[in-house]
Amino acid sequence: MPAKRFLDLVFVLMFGLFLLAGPALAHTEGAAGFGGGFLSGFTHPIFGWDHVVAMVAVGLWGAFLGSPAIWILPVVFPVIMAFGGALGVLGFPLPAVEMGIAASSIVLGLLIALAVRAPLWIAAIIVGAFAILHGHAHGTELPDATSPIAYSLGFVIATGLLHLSGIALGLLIGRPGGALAIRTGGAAIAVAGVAFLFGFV
Amino acid sequence: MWRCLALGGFLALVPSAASAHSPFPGIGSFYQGLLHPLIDVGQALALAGFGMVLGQNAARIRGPAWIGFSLAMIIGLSAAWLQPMLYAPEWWIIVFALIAGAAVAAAQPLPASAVWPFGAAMGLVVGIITMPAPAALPVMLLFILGSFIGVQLIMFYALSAARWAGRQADHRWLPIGVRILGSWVLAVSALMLALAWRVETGS
Repeated sequence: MPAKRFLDLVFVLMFGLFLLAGPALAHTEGAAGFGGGFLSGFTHPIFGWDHVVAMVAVGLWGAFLGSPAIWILPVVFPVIMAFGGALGVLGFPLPAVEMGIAASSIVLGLLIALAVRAPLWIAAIIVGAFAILHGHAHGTELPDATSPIAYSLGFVIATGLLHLSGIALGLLIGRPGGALAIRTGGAAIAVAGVAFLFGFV
Repeated sequence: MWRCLALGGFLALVPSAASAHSPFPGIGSFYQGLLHPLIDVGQALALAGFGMVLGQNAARIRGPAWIGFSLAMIIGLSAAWLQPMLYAPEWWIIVFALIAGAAVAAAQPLPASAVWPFGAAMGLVVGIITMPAPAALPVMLLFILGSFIGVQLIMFYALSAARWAGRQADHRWLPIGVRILGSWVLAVSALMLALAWRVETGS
């Protein structure tokens, strides 16, 4: 079939589809239902740049630390974060949570920029402490969510995916110039953390 | 020829209400039952978690555990009248999800003496809480049948995925991915439990 004729046919079909288009009535439950709660939880870490930067930093640092840390951190992090989240849900007060979250970007960014290869147990303590703070921030908002179950499902998955994004970026370490790129990224994360801390962002 | 095709394409794409798919009276309750374990997030997490646990463990543990779970679920289904006597059944399910998630995240071989009773207890509770709304007996039976199949399917998919991941010697990250999923199940369950506790105590 000549290409022009095929394109004409596609055009006619698409034009017809536009004419036939009706209102999309799906998802009207929106913010009220399970979908709304899930979306709210899923976007909470993604729209919070301080969370995004810290989660990616954890993955990047894991890549620097190498095996087994690169694989243990994404398994352990959500669990510790949930512990912090549970503290937040139960109203257990933690001091300076927002400051700690900003500090997590600074510390993790510096660790990456300086290519610090800490022993696994020290890395676990550092990351775990920050995980509790991040979890607490999410958990505090959980009871007010539209669908708390869907919210928690959404934010745990989003956090995990951010984490995995960091690990994926960290796998550049095996490429030429990859280590330098990651260390530069770490420095940028630390600068972003300073901006979060002093309210520039 | 092409005009006919274009016209046929148009007709096929014209949106209209789909009123088909009701060949059997009451079949809707079957599909409601089928989706029931998915709609109940706590139950879906627990089933997926237990399925992954089975997938991570050896066949000599997996088979009897699944059979025990299924038999216990049938017993639970026939004893659904016990539900009002079961204190906070939604807590039970979340606790099962929590334990299963922890087991998947740990990815350690488990003894049969731990997996079998756990599966049986979980099957019993899942059966008990699968209570259809009062209706004609055939409608309720279809709902129960649908639920049973839905539960089995969730477990089958989770088990198969975990088992497949564990067999990929060339992709060592796949079993880690299953462990990460387990940690997510654990994390969500812990938050749900905390929330349930908060609601229960009114704090």
